Amino acid sequence: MSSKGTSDKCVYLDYNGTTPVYPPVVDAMLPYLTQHFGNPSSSHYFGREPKQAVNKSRQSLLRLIQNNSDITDPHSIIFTGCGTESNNLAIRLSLLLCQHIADGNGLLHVVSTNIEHPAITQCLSSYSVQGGLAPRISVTYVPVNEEGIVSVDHVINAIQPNTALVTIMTANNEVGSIQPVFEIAKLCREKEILFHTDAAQAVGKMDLRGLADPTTGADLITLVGHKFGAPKGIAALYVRPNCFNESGRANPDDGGSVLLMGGGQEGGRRGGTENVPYIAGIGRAAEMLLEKRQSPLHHNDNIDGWEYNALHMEAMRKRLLINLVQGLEKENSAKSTFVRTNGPSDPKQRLPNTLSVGLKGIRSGELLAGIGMIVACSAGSACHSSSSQAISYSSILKAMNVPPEYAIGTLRLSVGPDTTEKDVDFAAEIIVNEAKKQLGL
Amino acid sequence: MSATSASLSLFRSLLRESRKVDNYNFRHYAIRRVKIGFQTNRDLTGNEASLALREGEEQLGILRRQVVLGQLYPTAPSVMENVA
Repeated sequence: MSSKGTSDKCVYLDYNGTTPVYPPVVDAMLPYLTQHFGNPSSSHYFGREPKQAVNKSRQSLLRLIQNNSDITDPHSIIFTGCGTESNNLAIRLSLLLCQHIADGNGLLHVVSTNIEHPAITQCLSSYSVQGGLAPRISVTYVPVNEEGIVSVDHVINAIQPNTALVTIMTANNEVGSIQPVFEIAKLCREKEILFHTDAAQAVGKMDLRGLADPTTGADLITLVGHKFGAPKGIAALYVRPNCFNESGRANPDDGGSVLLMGGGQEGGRRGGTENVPYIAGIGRAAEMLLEKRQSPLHHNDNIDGWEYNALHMEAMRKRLLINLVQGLEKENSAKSTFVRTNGPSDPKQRLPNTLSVGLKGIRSGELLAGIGMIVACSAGSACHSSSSQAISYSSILKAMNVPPEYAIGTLRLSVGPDTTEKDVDFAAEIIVNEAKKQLGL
Repeated sequence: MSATSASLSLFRSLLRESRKVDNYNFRHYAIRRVKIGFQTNRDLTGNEASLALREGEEQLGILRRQVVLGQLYPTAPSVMENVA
């Protein structure tokens, strides 16, 4: 085993932070960095291949979120530079198009949850503060339960006459809880309220087909490339065709751009020359998730690539948890449990790759500092302090009422399709040893 | 070359290239993927077998290019390389 502090690359257990760029994705990108350098907006020869690549990627992404028979207009996919841009665009478009339902004070209303990513909360905040962006809004952040899941009824009951948008993440990045977005989308459609979901963490880990169903699905969906094997710097926003022309909505700029004004690319919604190599990459990454593989459980069945990966990741997650529990609980003479998982206990309600685990009596920030050169993961607490009251910890864990003694010791471990059993066994051993050191065992 | 010897040759080539992949996790994933892929398709015949072989050849091309890239831009060795 190599010693700490060497240049050896450590075990990577932070796939929710970002994923490596997979070799077939790199392979798909390279031609557009070399021979096919043309501008897809050009009408001459050099624009044709890049344009085809961009259109093909749109189709590939749509197949992730729609059933084959439902494939709508490929231009319902708008490529952006990142998930934050997609989320900001979704919110801004929705607000600008719903000004006709503002209340007597000119205020619109948005419904979200108290565990959203800052790309949503900070954006909403910028519209709700005094002197902030227009149009002004008020926001209802519906609380989640102790497993990190929001109630469908609570969301729907929060809707007001001036509600312009409901925005709820598909799956939480910290604890992996999957939100009931399919049901909420359907109910919002019945109430003619725009529904957006940030699916960044969900792609490649669960079945999203039907999320963009033309009749019952979401109106706006954020997809983020670097969460499923594409490079950082490419994302997409799905916009249901005609959703901005229904129920009295009308864009005063008649379908134009609201964030990046320029050459009319992406159907006029996002100016700027398309990032062709990266678009080719995200398209290839999406295709990989739908390639058929033999099921490891039922050898006569062929399953999609995402499902194959999900089964592998679930097995790695389980192995990791067992190793941690076996390594730590046997030293535990106290009556209370030392190791506590955060998030849903039902595997169907959480992502297969995410293990948020609270270690009682541990400061996860300090533990990370001790293992950071060998095991890459993230922590639920931020501060290094001798006083437990001075230690801040994740607002997500607070929202879930995770007991502070576990929240302060929470690690977020997220495995990937290429995580091996040896990775897991090794990482668990390192974490257990470091935890024991902190506890003086 | 018969179909059986062609697929055997492809299998060996894919495994050989997979073992040369620079990145520890990608290398093990590639090896696993090759073995499972051939196991899945071992009973294919006719057109299906030809299509699978063609796909395998494409994957071999990808692997070879990525091996070269890995040699040009090597990553730091994983700590797992030294773990028994």
